[in-house]
Amino acid sequence: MGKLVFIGLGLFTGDLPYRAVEVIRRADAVFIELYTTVLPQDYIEYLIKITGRSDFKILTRSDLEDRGGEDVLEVAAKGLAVLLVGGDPFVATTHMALRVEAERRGIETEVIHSSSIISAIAGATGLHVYKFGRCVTLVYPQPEVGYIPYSTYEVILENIERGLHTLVLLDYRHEEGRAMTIPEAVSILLWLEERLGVEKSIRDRVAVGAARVGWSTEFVRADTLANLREVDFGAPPHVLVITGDLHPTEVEALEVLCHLPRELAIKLLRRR
Amino acid sequence: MVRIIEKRISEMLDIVKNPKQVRNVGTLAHVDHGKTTTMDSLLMGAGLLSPKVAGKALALDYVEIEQLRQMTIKAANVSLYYEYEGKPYVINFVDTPGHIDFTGHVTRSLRVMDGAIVVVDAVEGVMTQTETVVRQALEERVRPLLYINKVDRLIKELKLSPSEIQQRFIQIIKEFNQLIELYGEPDIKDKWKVDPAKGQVAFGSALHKWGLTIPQAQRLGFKFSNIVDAYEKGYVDELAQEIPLYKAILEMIIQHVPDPATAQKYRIPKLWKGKLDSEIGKALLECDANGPTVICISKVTVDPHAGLVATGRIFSGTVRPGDEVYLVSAKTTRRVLQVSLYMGPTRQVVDYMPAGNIVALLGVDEARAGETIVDAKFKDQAAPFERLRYVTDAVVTIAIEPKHSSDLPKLVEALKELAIEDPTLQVRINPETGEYLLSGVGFLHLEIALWLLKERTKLEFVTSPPQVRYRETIRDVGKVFEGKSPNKHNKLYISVEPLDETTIKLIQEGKVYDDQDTHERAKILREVAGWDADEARNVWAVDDLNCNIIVNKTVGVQHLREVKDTIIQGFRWAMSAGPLCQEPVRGVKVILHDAIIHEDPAHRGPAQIMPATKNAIFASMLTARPTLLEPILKIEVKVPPEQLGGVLNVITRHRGKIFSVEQSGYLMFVRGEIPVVETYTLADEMRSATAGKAFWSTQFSRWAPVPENMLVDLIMKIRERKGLKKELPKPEDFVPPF
Repeated sequence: MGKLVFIGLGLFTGDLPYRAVEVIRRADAVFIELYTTVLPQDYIEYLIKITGRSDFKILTRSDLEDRGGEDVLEVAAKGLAVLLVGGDPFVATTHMALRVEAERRGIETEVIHSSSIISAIAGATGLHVYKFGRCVTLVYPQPEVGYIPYSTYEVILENIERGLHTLVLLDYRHEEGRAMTIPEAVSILLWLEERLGVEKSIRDRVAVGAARVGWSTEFVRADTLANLREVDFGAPPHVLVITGDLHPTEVEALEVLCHLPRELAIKLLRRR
Repeated sequence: MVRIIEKRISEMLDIVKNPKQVRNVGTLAHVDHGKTTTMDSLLMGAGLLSPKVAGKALALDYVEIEQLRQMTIKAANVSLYYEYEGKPYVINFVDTPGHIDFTGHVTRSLRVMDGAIVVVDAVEGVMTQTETVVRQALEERVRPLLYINKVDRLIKELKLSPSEIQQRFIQIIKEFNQLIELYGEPDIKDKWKVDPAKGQVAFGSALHKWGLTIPQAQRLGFKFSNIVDAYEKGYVDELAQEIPLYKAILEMIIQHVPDPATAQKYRIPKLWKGKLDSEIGKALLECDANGPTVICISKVTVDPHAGLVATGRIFSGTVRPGDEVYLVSAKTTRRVLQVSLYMGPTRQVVDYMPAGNIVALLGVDEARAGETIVDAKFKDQAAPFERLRYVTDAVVTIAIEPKHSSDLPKLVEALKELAIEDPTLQVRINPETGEYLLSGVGFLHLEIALWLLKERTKLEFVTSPPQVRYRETIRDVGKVFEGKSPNKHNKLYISVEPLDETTIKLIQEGKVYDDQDTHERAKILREVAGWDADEARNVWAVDDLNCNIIVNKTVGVQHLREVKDTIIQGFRWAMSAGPLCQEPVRGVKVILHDAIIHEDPAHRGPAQIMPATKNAIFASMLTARPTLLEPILKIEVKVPPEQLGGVLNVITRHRGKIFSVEQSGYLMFVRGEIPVVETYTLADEMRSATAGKAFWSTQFSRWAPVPENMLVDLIMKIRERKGLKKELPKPEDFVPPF
């Protein structure tokens, strides 16, 4: 009976665990999925160099969703199949369907974890990992088909009410070649806010924009949400954090690591 | 040559400021009863209004008749000027379509007029389409007046005596008044029956440009025998001088069509949905030029220079360039760029236009025929006019492509323009073949559309033979299916059942519709169609076009609110092209029983939810004895007794049914029905079977199931044509077995 190993590629080129390299070398087929996370351009090149193989099969969303990953399961039914995923493989919930289907068919599965934005954000911003509330994705609204993601805004509000931070993951549309930027995200959130007609705007809340977390070119800035719209964060991937109540050590970290303007920091510290 | 009547714009505005001196009318007729000739005769008699520019010679000294005809054909409105008892009047003739295939247009035109001249051929008398247009006029509380045309035929062809002619008139008037009795509301039908002695009926010959009403005849001392004499002795031309048709009809209009202010008092409560005691309501009832602006658009045309021109009636307020207005159906705010009044068939820019009048607007590019436009300040109180009801469905389609592929963008642009101007035309792209498809309400409708396309673009294009469009429906209750999103994270539990006939009828009549107040809709569904109270309250959406409904029966499903609209989109997608052969679905109630929705918005977007919805609907439909419906036409034929056999033979040979054969004067009157698909060659066959002696007309009647023995073949044929797999679809094709 075969085996299917899910391997996390982490955030940046070379982030995959060493033992994963061993598995990749032995595998009968190696698949890679590139549509859930933005990885550095040179990652595949690096993989070729370090594993000595160049037959990576790129899977599209439709391969995995519409055709249910049949190609992967076919290999895994008899031999060793590997699926490479950016970040930590099951943070993208979508791949669990494949794992369950594999197990259901009697295929053994294994996971090799790696770094993910979900935990890396604490390091990049200095915010306490215990103080994050529900994480949420902000997607591009599609009013023409009736899809306006009000709930993203509502999750942020719920978290704020509980004093918690919200990690907002930004839409990535690999097929269309676009990824949402922080300024775009701020505009969309404020647009949703206007349409919802909320009493108190979140535009002046302290927020953190984090670009390319874990990369050598990581760039993080803290300011009011509205002000982040004016910052040039460079290329994706981007994420956004809307803060809840801040602990003094969090404020300190934001000021030192994320260039939170001094007057905002003072205001936050005084309020306590 | 046509007489020109010059008026200064300021003079025109002085007249139209007083609603008592304005009339808004249109002409309605059965095909070939002479609507166009009547219009021509009115225009040429009354003269062409033209702007007078002080101190400047007018470029337009005279207009040739043909030129005038070209101008009026394209006009959304033609205004005539007439002085009656020393007072000037502006009479707006709102454009109404000539052929019954465009009944959707008739309804929209009726909205903006207060009276209608119903043209009836003296020989043929009241026909089905006469009945249809009178019924529609009465539904919109538009007063129908009768003009009996082609009296010359009674004299020359049938050689009737003056007393026989009189008998013929009495018969037609009786039939006409029966229609008013049958379709009029109780409080208006007695008032609106036409009385020839009061001048509510005109008779004449549009061809020879003469016409009379009884009071006019009495005043002039004119008798039937004088007219018969004129024909026998050959001085018909003098009739056009002595008793011109335009005088008869325009005076009948001024006397018997209510002015806009009077008409709005009784029309607004029926046509407008808002509260009558609100500020807008009061202004509408009063036709108040100082009230909030409310305009109902009847026609949209695309002008090569000006762009989109929206023509409609100002029911209240005064519209000026620069006004900010709200488009109720398009749900958008726009600024009016230009305001024009009609002088003859042309638009003249003005500074303002007051209530009661027909106006042309630039700047409201999202407006389509039927749109209600209100002052943006009153956006929140704005209610639309009662929804326009379209009594016809698009049933015939052709594929069209340019001869030279480089012409495609031009052709597509022109097709889109056509569809803007005529909402009963639909333009779609076949996603498999990339062909452009044009659908209309009949073979003739498409023929005319193609002619227009050719005229405008001068492009060469090729078309496929017309294809009849079918509808997919079900005859049984379907099983509940689990529709999964492609990412497997969302699950929708859906079943379908046939929608009852009463509800279908309510949707068709516009009594139940999509953006209706939920409570009002629930009440009607409960009380009229006998729906369960719970279901009636939980209707999510109504597919007005194809008569389908989606009902939400779920309880407490997380995140459902956010995906509600996407599920509805999925429902509409499924209804637009069904599982059997991608024809539109009709008469289906879709029920959402339960749903599991993913926690994160990224995993429950349209690309996930829409296919899940559609697939579950399709699987359920396939377990509900699906079938195809075909469009059936009502057919009426008047034919001499000798040719009756030929007519009956042609109809029955084409799967038609004969309902009745009656003697009607000296002709036989056949009523029956026939499937649209069988009518492609009907004109030729009818001609050869009756030596060209049959007068016949058809009109959309209903959708009927395709005979069982033809069903599978037909599905396969359509699937093949559309490039679909040539096998009958199964539920497993859409929802894999669990």
